[in-house]
Amino acid sequence: MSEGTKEPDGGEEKVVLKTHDGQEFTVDMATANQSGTLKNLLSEVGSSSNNPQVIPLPSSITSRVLGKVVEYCQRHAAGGGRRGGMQALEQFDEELVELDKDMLLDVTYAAAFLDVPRLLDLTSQAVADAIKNMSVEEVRHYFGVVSDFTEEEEKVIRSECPWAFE
Amino acid sequence: MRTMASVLYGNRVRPVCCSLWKHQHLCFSLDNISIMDTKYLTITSGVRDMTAFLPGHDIFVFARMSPDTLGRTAWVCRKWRYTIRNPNLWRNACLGIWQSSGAEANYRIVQSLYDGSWRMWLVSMLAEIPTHSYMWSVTTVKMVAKLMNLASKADCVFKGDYILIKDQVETALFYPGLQYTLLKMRLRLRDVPAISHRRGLTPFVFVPFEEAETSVLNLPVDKMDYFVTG
Repeated sequence: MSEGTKEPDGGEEKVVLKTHDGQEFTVDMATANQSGTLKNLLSEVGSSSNNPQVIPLPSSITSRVLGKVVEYCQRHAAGGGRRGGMQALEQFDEELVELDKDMLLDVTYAAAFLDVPRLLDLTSQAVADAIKNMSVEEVRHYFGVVSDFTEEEEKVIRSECPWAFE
Repeated sequence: MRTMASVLYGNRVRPVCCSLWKHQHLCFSLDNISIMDTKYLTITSGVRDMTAFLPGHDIFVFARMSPDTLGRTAWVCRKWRYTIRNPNLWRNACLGIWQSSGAEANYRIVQSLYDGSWRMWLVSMLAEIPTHSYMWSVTTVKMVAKLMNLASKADCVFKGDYILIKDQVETALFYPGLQYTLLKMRLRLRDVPAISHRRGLTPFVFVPFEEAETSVLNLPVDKMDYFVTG
C-alpha cells in the first residue's frame, strides 16, 4: 500500500552506480549509505529520484563484483527484520563469501574501496582463512605474486626458515 | 604515491617497487580520479597482482592472521615483509591467540616487560607453559622451533624431560632432524602444580602450536576421562 502513495519510479532517492564495463546498478539511499565512500560522496553532491546521481566506478570493480556488494548492502540495509532475521543474515553472510579466489579478492578490494566495513571484515577473514595453512610458495601462487627477493636472499630465507616453505 | 607508502611503512622506510607504482599511475582513467577521494588513487588500477593492488588493503587480511601465518606470509615478497613489520599486526595476532589470560592482562604484561614489543612478547610467551592441571604439556614448542629456525614437521609430537623447581622448569628434548639437536629451555609456569608432582625428571610432550587450546593432551582435569598421578 505504501507503493501507491509513492511516485511511480519508487519515489525514494536513488543513486546509479556505473561500472567500467557499462552496467548500471540503481540502488536506494539506504543501500548506498552502507558504503562509507558513497555516503561521503552523496552527502556532498546529493541525489534525487528524478535526476539520480551517476557514480562511475573504477575498472577493477566489475559488474559481477559490484553485484555481490550491492546484494550485501541491500540485505544489510534491510536489517535483521523479523525474528530469526539476524540468524538468516549471518547465514547470508557466510554463504556470500563462499566465492572462488579471484572473486573473493575482487570483492575484498571493492569492499575496501567502497568502505563497507563489515563486508571487508567478512572477506578479509575469508582470505586469511584460505591462506592459513599454506606455504610461502602456495601463498605466492594464490596471490599471483612473483617473489622480488634476490636469489641469494631467497636461498638464505629457505635455509633459515625451511618451515615456511613446507 | 609518497603518502600511501609513508602511511604504510613509515617515513624512514624507502618505498619499494617504484616502477610498479608509476605504472599504476598510468593505468588511471581521468573520470575515476575526478570523482574519487585522492587517497584511493593508488588502488584504482586493474592490476591483478595482489601486492600491487592492495596497498593498504592487504593489511585488513594480515590483521586477521594468526602469528604463525603472519610469520610465513612475511616471506612472500619484500613489500609484505615491510608491511608485516608493523607492530600492531603482531599485537592483534598475539591478543587473538592468547585469549585465555585476557586481553587486558596481556597488554599490561607487554607494556611492563617488553617495552611494548609484541614480537618480543610472542617469543617469550612461546617459552612459557600454559598449564591447567597436573597433566600439563608444553604447547608452543613448534613455534619456538620455528623461531629458532629449526626444521619442523607439522605433525610431530615432541617428547622430552623436565625438572621442576618451584615455578621454574628446566627442560631438554632431542629435536629430530638430519642431525639431532638438543633443545634446552628454562620455562616459567603460570600456575604452580601440586607438590606431589615434583619428581625430578619427568616426561612431557609438545603439541602443535595451533592445537594448544584444543588438543587432548592439554585438557584441564575436569575434562579428562581420567588421569594418573606420578
